[in-house]
Amino acid sequence: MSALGGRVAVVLLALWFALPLVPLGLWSVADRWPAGAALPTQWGWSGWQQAVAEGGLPALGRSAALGLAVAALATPLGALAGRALAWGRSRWHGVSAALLLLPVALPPFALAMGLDVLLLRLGIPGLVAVVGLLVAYAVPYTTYVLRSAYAVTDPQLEDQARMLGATGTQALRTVTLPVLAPALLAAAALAFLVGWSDYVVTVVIGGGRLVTAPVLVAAGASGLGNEPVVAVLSTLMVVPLVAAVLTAPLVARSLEASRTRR
Amino acid sequence: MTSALRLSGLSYRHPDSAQPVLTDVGLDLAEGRMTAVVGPSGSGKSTLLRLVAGLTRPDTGDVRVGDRSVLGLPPERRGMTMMFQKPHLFPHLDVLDNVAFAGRVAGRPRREAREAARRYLTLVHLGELASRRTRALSGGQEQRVALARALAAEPEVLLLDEPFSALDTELRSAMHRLLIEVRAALEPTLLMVTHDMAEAALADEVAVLVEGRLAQVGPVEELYSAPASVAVARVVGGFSEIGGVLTPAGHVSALGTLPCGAATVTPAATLLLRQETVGITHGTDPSATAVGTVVGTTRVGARQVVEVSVSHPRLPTAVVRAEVPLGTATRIGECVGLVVAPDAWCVPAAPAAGLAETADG
Repeated sequence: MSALGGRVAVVLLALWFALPLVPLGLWSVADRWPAGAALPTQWGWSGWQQAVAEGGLPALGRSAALGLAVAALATPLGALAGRALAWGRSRWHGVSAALLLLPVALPPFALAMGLDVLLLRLGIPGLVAVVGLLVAYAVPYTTYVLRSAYAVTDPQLEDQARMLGATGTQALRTVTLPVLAPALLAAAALAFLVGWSDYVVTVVIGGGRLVTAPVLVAAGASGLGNEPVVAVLSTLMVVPLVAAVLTAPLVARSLEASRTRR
Repeated sequence: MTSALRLSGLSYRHPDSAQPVLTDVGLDLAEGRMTAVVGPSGSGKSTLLRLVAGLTRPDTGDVRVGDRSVLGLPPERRGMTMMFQKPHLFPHLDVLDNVAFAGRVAGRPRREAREAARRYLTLVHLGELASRRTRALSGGQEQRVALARALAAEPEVLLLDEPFSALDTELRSAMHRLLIEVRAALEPTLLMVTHDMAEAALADEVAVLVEGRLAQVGPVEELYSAPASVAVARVVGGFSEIGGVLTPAGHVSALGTLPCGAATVTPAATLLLRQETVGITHGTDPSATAVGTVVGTTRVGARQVVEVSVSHPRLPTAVVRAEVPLGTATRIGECVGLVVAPDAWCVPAAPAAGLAETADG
């Protein structure tokens, strides 16, 4: 009975997430969909052609690069902070944890506006500032995920590796990181999504010069008659998330398999 | 025989504590020998191993392996390995690669490291589990793999931090038999920390750590027959402590005057009686050393420990524990005679101990 209930819950949850994507998918292949019509009245690829013409592909490329840059910086920072919070013995744990979570608690727009002025005065290049600020937003997430992973990993595991002849770096590389691999992947995925889907920081700090996919989507959505282009770009933006959800079990299985093979 | 490991003047105080954890600990381990360190909880046993291993830095003192000081070396370059209380198998590696770990990090080719690992797995009777995932092992198998992995590192000294204490009695005995086999086959130099005297008896020599200081080092027989102090007797367990005075004729207490060997010349002395050397007889038996009243009985496996209180008009009451076969008819309040073996042992009276206390087993 409980297994059946679980299955029903999964189906309902999948529907909850999938429903908004149905009109998006339909719009992306609709050349005409008048208000009041249940389905598009004219099908076609004009939305895709328009999206490419408006620089949709480079924008997606920029978003991906931003996501990767944020993941590449926020994951190791989160690992360091998570390790210190879970394994350290500092009296200031509470304060450190609160400070790390602060960027999430502050309204992004206010923070971005305030920092924009500061960064302009300091002469920090816009792209560096965008990446830096997004990393600050992503670090609380990566820290949270990796703190939990470190908390369930015995620090003596590294001592054990050292006692078997591994240097500190070898112990980290050959024991701690492989043990934490699933959590590191999850943290990196979260950090990637912070960069991939950001709008506010990119627009305010980037000053409109950095055109990413969300910037293009927002510009299209604010005008009239751009629904097909917006739908195409939005659909493409959902791809990494859907891909992550679909491949997560496969990645977990292959990690498990490589553990038993090595 | 050459010295494989020499500790001298090791002291350590935890940064958050006013009291030192270890004070001036010195110990010498001959090559191929096994030394056990015993002591009550909090006596600094595990800290001592961490200092030796290089996982914690001592405030003073030296650690020498062979003829070189390893104090300035990191743990991985000290020529030692350690087995912890938990097996700490690496979950991302299978059994064989866990055992081959030391070879791999030392830079040996995978095939060579695995071949060596297979030999050590066979030594611990787990050759057939080489490709098993570590999660699929039982607790006993995990510790066997951990032992094989430690041995495969081919250390000059193997440190054991209560590695069998989490196992049940049967598995622990099996691990003890395995350790004896391994010692016969490889003759490793072993330093083991334990709180279990039965486990310590596997060692050639036992060091007793009390409040961070070494109170006695010697063969286990010596600890049972001639403990250096009341504190050592309490760690060993199974002694009755009888307060009294040492005179040329022997130890005078509520039990009478008993001839005894002594680790003291001070007048105030505690007579230590091993519970298995005290017999019980009828209260009217003329051969009884003293007569007293049964105040308690406790079953310990196939034996029972009977507590007998012996009063004296002028001297403090003595409580003596006698270990007798299960089924020996005694009841609380019964008057019984005590037969004490003639080889009793006296130590200086413990400052904090009363004159008539029993040691806790």
